[in-house]
Amino acid sequence: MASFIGLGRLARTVQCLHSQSRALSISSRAYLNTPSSYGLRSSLQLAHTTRQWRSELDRATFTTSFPCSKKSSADQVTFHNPMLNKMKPKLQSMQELHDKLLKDLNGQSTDDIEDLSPAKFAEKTKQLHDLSQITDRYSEVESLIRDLYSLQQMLEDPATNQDKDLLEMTQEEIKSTTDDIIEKEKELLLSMLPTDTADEANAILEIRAGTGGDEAGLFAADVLRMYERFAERQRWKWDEIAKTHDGLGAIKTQGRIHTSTITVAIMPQPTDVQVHIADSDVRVDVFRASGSGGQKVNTTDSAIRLTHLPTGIVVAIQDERSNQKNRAKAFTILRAKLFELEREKLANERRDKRRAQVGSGTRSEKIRTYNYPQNRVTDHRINKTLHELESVLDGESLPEFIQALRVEEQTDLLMAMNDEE
Amino acid sequence: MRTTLELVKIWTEALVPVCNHSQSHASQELKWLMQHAKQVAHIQEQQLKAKAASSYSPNIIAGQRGRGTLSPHEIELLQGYVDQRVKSRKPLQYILGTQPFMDLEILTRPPTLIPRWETEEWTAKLAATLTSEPSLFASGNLSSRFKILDICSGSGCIPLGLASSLPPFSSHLFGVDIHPKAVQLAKDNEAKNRDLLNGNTVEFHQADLLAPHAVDTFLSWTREKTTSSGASGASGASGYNLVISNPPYIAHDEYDTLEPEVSQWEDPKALLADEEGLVFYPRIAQIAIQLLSQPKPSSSSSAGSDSESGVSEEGSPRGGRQWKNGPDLDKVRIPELVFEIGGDHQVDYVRDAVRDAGFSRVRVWKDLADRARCIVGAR
Repeated sequence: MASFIGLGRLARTVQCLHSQSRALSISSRAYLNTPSSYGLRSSLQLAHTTRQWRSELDRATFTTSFPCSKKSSADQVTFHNPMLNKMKPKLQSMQELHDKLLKDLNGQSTDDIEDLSPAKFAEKTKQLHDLSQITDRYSEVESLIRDLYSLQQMLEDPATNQDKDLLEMTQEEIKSTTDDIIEKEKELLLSMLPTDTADEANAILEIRAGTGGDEAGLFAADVLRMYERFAERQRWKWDEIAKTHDGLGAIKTQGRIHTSTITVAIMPQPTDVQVHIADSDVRVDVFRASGSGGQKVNTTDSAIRLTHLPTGIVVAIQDERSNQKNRAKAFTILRAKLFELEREKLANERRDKRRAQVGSGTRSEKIRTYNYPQNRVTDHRINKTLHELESVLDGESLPEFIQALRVEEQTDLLMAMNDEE
Repeated sequence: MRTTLELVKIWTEALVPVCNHSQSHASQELKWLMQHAKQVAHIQEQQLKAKAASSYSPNIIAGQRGRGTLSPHEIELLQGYVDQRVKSRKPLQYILGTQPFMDLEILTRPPTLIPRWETEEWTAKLAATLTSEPSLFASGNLSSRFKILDICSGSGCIPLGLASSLPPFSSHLFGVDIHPKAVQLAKDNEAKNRDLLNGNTVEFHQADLLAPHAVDTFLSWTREKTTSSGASGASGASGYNLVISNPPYIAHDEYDTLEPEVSQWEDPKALLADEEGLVFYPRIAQIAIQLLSQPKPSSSSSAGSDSESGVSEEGSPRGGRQWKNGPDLDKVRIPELVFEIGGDHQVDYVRDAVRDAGFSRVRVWKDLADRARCIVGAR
């Protein structure tokens, strides 16, 4: 039985991967860096992915069965999307907050506008702007739904039924308005998703060969290629930060007969400000010649090893001929690792909280299996299998997993938001 | 015929003895050599193609090759490089022809000294130190720029590296070396990297620092610029704000112990110094103090910093200028003299020489390998 199992830390891992991108390794490790990538949010606006994953959203999460409401009350609208109906109280409180902010900023509220410091004013303006992204869509959907109610009333009107043309026109209108509503409701839902500022950052992807010796190295090389091709297909820019090969990574041996594991991690690349590393916390090791160095020694060994003392994280880079450059790269990676560690801690706290409420089971460490003999790839987090290993490894079918994972994450996020109420 | 893989194995093994007996470093060096061979082969191929096109004789060019394999020509080139490395102990940087230095690529040609990582490290640190004090840099005409002189400039890496990191159009840097070959290489390096120098000017001169009128000669370069730029008679602006030197500092008895990459390839005149490697320091320190321009009254120092906070355990301030304790250089915030030294054993002598020349503040900078690497002074 020759299966290859991807070990990952979080469901987030591959989702971020979709929203951002890249890196990989041959036999032990490699880092690639994207100079530019799309955040979760902005990539939703890409036509080529949006449509695709919207259909996923329909199937995977929300039924679009049409609750053809007989309600004629224009005050109470019922969304077609059950998720939105659940979130209606939240939407309403957002609307109230929005209106209050608007009043405050226009100086119409009882609070004296003079009391607002410029900073406070800017903060409120920003808050108002962010809220309008949601409330504007909310109003839009509401007015569409009211339109629909009127149309439905028209349909029930005997006068309409007697005029065949009018009947057809009304039915047409209902159909197109309904389509509109479905679209706009989805946009509304997405606008409600919490933003993660790290989504805007570049990503660093790290692949490491785990158990399985040389085979794991070959497997890591395959997955490296997969992500490289995937990024190329997405037209993402990426740089290789470092690639370490021990031995002969590129050579295929006959018969993959063992189970090998690799780990894939995606880390947002933080700024210097987001993660400040104290000099005293890092031990920097360089090649140290015997004697006193300087003019006496011309070493070409420019390897740098950083040890972050509080966490024990070690980053070693030797690709560049200048140890200053290796050092800069190593710090970039170290910063990303520390940032990720912190984020993971927060995410775990949040998830644990939710898990306690929802009572979901424990997460398996095994996230994806690549079974070569069976030509099969299974993602265990969403229980999705594709019988086209080659196409996945070529980066072509990979988005199918990523989209499904993404839907999963968005659903999770929305549910979590609702639970917080 | 051997496969590429077999060759890679053989070459790596061959390189191990010249790579500190490290397998991983040997494969890293081979990677760099291989990149170089491919680059050279590619350029030659392009030239051949151009020739072939002009002489109407196609089909000279080899077809496409698979990824990861080498063409016969590349193999030939690479075999040559490995031989040079292993048999002739030619330094990697002379084979590749360059060495990265900060954000620049510095050309390397025998026998001019190849930039060392320690030098790159302290040059970057010096650039960061200077840049952290924006008041040093007045933008304006050439005569009002921050002036730096690098004595024994070799390939020119130090002034060029500094220029690339200092504020745009803020500085005028000078390099001087006694060896015409070094000066030529430095000029080539300036030309190669000019676009990366932030509009800072770097010029190189050939002169002997032991000549009787060295000070006048060195000063004349700043004056020439002052007058030729037609500036108003700002006589106070002549002279340098900072003097730097990485002079030869290897003692004769140490020389015999050096690796062949150094002793057989690099100019002994750039490495060896009499009197235990120390002969140049007092001379350069004495020259430097005469080269420095009058200190500007420090406008940034607050009343509080006029206290004794600037006093180091090594001496009390003698000059009129007060130095604040900085987080990095607690005694010498803004250096006026920077020496690279050979290591811990030269600290005492060079520190005394610098102090005797009239620099009241003296500090040691260590390198990443935790060795004393620079003596830094200020008046």
